[in-house]
Amino acid sequence: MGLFNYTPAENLNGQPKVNRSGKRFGNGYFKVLSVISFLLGWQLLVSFRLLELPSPLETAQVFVNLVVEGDPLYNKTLLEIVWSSLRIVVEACLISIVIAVPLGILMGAVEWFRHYVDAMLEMLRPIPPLAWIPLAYVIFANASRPTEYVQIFVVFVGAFFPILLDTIHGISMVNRIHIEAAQTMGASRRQILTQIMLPASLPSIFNGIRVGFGVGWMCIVAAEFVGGKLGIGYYIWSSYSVGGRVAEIISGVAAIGLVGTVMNKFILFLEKRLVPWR
Amino acid sequence: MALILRDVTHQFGEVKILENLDLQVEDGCLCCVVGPSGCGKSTLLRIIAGLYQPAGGEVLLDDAPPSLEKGEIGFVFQEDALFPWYTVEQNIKFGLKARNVDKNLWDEIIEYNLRKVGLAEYRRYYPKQLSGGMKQRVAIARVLAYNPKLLLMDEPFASLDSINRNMLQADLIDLWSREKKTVVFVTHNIDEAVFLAERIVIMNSKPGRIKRIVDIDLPRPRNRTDANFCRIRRSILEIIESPDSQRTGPNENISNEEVKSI
Ligand SMILES: Nc1ncnc2c1ncn2[C@@H]1O[C@H](COP(=O)(O)OP(=O)(O)OP(=O)(O)O)[C@@H](O)[C@H]1O
Ligand SMILES: [Mg+2]
Repeated sequence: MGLFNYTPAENLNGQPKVNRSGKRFGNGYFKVLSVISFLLGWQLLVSFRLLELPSPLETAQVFVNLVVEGDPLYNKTLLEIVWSSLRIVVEACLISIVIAVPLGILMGAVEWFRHYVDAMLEMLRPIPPLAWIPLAYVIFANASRPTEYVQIFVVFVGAFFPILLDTIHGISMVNRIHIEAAQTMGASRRQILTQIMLPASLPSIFNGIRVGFGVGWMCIVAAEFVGGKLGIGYYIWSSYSVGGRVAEIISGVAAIGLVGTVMNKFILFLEKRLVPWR
Repeated sequence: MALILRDVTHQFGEVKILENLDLQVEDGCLCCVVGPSGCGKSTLLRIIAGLYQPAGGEVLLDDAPPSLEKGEIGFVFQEDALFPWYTVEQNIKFGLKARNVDKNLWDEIIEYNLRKVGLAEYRRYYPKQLSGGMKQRVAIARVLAYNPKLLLMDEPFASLDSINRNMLQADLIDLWSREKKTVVFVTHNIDEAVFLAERIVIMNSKPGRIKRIVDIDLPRPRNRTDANFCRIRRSILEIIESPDSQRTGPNENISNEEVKSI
């Protein structure tokens, strides 16, 4: 099969009969191929001793063991470890949503309020969430569980801005004709806000929430490096400190990636359910 | 609802859009506005609705300036104005809720108005599942449902095929003669204007002015192939195509008799 012997489009009766990129195979084939080449590359690097890592198979065994039996050093399964991080992220992101979405809607809808808040936020926005950690420890020093509060705070900051900015963006993109239509029907300001502006910007808000959760997930891992009891970030960092637990570290990193992916997919699924008109 | 425009002027920034519009539309009059694209017809409707504040002059609806809160106006927009996040049924409900229509009547009103535009089976569809013409018909049903006193329609039938257009024109006439609503109807289609209007406002462009106001006395039901109908249509076309004569004299009146002399 030569490089140039593809079927010309005009012979296809408008309907492409074969998958251009894959000929006989669908796109799923390439996804599998991608995983296989990744694992193969890893195996080769290990086999030729280019990297001092456990092989994919060894790692997989450790991973399964961590999920099923747990880590004897911590007396916790990988799922429990992941969950204690995830719980913080979910809590913090929910707080972010509850504050950022109404704030964003108000900022998008009321001009003077936007200018008022903007000046404050423009100063805070460039600060990386992790830079707040020391100050947060000072602020929450007297709280009942300072570490947890600090982590929630850091994740909250990380998730806050994506959600806020996308909410403002969503509101600013509301089609003027929809507002005018509602106005001519005699709708009140509240009706326009809750029944026009909010649903119209929902797709954008969801996008912000998705990004916010992603950033929050990154923040919790980093925040746990600094301190904390038992989360996934703490786990991989302390596994490193103990030494010689490379398979455990890789398992932890893989878990972080998996959870991040699942979280993203889950929010996309929720969006499909809650924004059926798109 | 009677509508009066006195010396209405409007501009966006430095650009004059409408200049010195004087118009009177009596209660129950069906008035068509025709004019070249960009002459400010949509802007005029928005000013009448109270969506825009005119830069000069005044608008009176039954002797009061337009006020959006009253919801006396049914505006069918030139653009697709259905709310995409609501189904057909919910779109109509929004207007009923905004107008505080008794909840018990909603179902019946929705059914009746959707039937009238031939879309009763599409109650639970989202706008994205409808064609352009169907959306426009839903928009009309949404407005008719809350029974406004003044209908402002901005080229509502432009995206319809001629069969549906003729049908809805007949329905509009039917509704209008039954309920004697005041209607301001913008169109590009002279045939449509002559078929519908009691009065045709012909506009000029740059800046938008009223070039001529013509009363149409043709008896109803009107027949598009009727000789008088064709003559009036031709004379309207002549007015539109004639060079600017800057005259805004008293209303012209093209009645059956006069037409013969044109
Ligand atoms: N919001 C706005 N800001 C600035 N200029 C505007 C705005 N809306 C309309 N215009 C300008 O005003 C003029 C009249 O617009 P309008 O939409 O009223 O025309 P129209 O007669 O309805 O045209 P058409 O028949 O094509 O719908 C146009 O030149 C347009 O560029
Ligand atoms: Mg227009």
